[in-house]
Amino acid sequence: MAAMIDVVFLLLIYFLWTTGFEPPEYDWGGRLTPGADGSAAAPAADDWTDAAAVVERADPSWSRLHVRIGLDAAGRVEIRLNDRLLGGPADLADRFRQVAGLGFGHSVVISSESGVSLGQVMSVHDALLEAGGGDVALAVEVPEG
Amino acid sequence: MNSLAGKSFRLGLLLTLATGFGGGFVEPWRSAGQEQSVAESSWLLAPEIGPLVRARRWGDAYRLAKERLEASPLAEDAGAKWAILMSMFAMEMRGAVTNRPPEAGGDDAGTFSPLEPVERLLAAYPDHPRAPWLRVQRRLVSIGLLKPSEQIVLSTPGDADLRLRLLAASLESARDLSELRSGVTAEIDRRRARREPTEGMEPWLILRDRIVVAEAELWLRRGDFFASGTTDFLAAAGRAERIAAEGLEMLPENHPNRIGLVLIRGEAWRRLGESERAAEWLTSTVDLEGPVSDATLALAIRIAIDRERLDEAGRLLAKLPLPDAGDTDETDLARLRYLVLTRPLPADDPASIDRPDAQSPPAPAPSPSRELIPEKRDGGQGDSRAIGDWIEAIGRRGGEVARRRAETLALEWLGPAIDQVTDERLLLAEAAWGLRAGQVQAVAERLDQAARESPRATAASALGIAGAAAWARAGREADAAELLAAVAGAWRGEPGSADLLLQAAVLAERAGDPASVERHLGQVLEIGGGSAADLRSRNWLAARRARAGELIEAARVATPGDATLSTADDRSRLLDAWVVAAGRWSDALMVEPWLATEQAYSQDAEAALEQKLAELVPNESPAMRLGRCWLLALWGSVDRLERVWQPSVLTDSVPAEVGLRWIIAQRLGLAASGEVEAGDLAGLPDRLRLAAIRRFVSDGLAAPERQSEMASAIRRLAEGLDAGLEVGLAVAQADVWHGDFDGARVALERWLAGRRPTELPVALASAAQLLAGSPETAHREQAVRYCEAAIARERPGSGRWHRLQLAAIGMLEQLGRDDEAARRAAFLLAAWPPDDEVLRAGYRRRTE
Repeated sequence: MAAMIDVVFLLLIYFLWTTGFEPPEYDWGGRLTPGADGSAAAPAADDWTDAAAVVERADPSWSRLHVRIGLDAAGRVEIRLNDRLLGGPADLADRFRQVAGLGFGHSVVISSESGVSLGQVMSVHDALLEAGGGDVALAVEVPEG
Repeated sequence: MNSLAGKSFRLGLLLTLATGFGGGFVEPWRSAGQEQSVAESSWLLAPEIGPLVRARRWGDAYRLAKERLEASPLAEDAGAKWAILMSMFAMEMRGAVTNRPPEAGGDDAGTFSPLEPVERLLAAYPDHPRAPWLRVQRRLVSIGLLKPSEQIVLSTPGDADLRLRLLAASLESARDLSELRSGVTAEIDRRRARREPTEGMEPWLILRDRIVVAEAELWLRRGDFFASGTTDFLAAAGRAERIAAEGLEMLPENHPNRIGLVLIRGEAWRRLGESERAAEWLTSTVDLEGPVSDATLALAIRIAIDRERLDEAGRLLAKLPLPDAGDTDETDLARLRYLVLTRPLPADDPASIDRPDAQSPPAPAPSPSRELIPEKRDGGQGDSRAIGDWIEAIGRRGGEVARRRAETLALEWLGPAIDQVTDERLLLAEAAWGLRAGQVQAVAERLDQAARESPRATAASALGIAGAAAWARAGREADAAELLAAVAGAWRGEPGSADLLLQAAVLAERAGDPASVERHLGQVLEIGGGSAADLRSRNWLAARRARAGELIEAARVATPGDATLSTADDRSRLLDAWVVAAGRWSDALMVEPWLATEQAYSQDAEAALEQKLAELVPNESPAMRLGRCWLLALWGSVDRLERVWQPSVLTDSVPAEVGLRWIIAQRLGLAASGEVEAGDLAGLPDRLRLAAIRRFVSDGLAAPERQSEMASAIRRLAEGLDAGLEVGLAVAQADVWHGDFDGARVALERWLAGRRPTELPVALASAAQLLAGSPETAHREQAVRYCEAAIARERPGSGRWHRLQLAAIGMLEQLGRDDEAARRAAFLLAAWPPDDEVLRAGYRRRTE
């Protein structure tokens, strides 16, 4: 009997040692990205004038998409795609279903304004994934230090 | 106080030397404005230079003295004589003694030192029999050379360091003169003891007199460095009085050298506060009712003022010759003091209000004449503006230093009463004083208030500008801009209000306040009128719009409004403005036209330009026809140019017009390329060459059948021009129109390598457009890469970004990559839907 208890403890220790603990965000299909804004802004003028390098480094920025979730005056969810106000989650899903099959390997960053609940963000996130959202990331604020 | 007796004495001395009169007795004050004669040693006389001295031809006199010196035995009297005369003439040439600018045409003035002749002789012959004369001359020159610096210190009291150095130099001179006088007096005593005959004594006595006069005058001048009434001031005056008294005791009655000492003694008493005694002294020695010298009159006026006898001072002032007639520094200041003392109270000052609604006549122009003596009215009060007018007159005659000296004295005499003075020139002088003393904030506040309260537009403007400068110096550019805008607002419509607003915009820009910049520039445009400020403001505002990418708006702003064309300058300015405006329109048309969706807009713009041309450049005169021709030649359409063009408008005598004729001939197809020699185009300014190149590009784009001709013309004009953004592109365009795509690609790569980052989006897009038309796939693929690079440098979702996307999609289609083009159009339509329906339609068309 004592031997059986030893065996149970040994097994318990084995499983404790071999079980990995993953952070909760790994439970969903997205990832986190710093630099919350991600809004459509003109690229900063740099100081290099090597035209050949400019051409080589041309980045198809148009395949990087930005979804921003906010609240209107009545507290209803507002969704903007690349700064353009959409009809709602269904409109967003419809647009992503259109682009999903076009083969440009697009990526999406979701950001939210203050007041938007995590649940509202996650519902948009899930809708995007369902519509074939591609490489989806949640924008987070990185604490300083 | 100026040199009082010194100037008359010096000129009198020169005349005496030159005319050969020595030891005689004449009335030194015989006629006002004429130099008095003085006694001088017979060994120094040189009658041969008389005509030159009388004609004040100092350069010629100097050269003659130099010749004589070189021909004279240096160790003897003749050597000393010519060395001393050379030194005197060199001083005249420098203008150092008189404070006048150097003699006109006196090219030797700055070359020769007045010290040099006497110093060389003393160095070579330390025991020269005339060494005392040479030493005295050396010292007098040293004193004279410091006079300009003294004037500067007296007019700008803030420079304490220079003041101290001059005081030290003055003390050294006084010590040296005192030693020289002791030495000469000892020599006289020795000779007297030996009972020498009079002839041998006379030169020594005369030399002593010269030293005494110089010494007394030096002490008076030293007093000028101290405030009136201070211990130092009184001590200097007391010393001058004692020396003058000693000198007078030594001179016999009626000796011509006495007058200088008489005046010095009178001035010294006046300074010591003994005006009554000074008046008695002067009236007992000089007949003031007869003709007297200016210096004597000036002293008499000062004394009368000190005795509060303003009527008498006014009567004496009326006796002065016209101020422009000669050297009247002393009388200038005497008159100024009189004007200060007789200024009216502010309540009595009619202030000649010239607000726009006032009907008062404009103030008469200041005149530097005796008319400036205030009329007696309002119980003896004069015109307060007369003080400012008189200071201006002094400045016109004596230069900047004299003006500042007069301002300084006027402020000193006014004292706290300056607060009651409204004349802007005096207020500005006070402000300059305050700024030199470092009271920037206080000055700015005072000027700010004065400018806002000023009842006259010109005064408000001058005070506002100075106030703004003070605010700016205090680092408060926003306040400076606000002040100028306020003054301009109060005097809206007055000449110069647009200039003030433009300056306000400059200051607002410096203060980092773009909203105010825009507001002030907008206000200038509202005033309009085609003034320089109007056109500069348009230019500036247009440049701001262009920097913001609003090229059409920039062109609209740059387009001049109605303008007054009363002078040739007005026309020339308007034409320049039109060239700039048309250039802006050209910019607006240049960047966009190759994008299909912009075509309608561009045509609108061109139509607007041509309509404006028709409105604003009517065929009213040859000049206007020329301007119209000029503008149409470079910026109008070929159709319009064909209708309006009149060959007789252009001449062959103006190089630019010859070049313009060639440009018109090219555009209208009137002449084969090469008809006009290349040299004939040399007179065409670069800016207009560039405009012509732009025009040829536009014409080529509009008429493909003429592209080869336009390409040749572009290449011709581009020779020798810097390959800037447009020139390089135009040359590549010319290569393309000649079918040389390889050459165009190489030229584009080289050209792109030299572009600034800010130019790259347009440069890349233009390069892409050029290569996209090539029959070779490699070129067209390169065009897509250029286009992608341009897209990556635009703000995603902007109108330009979408147009570039459409261009890239079109290029993909040309390459046969239709599927990729359609997918990209669909992606952009779904993920980046543009607001513009034209752009959306462009995408939809590609997805079908």
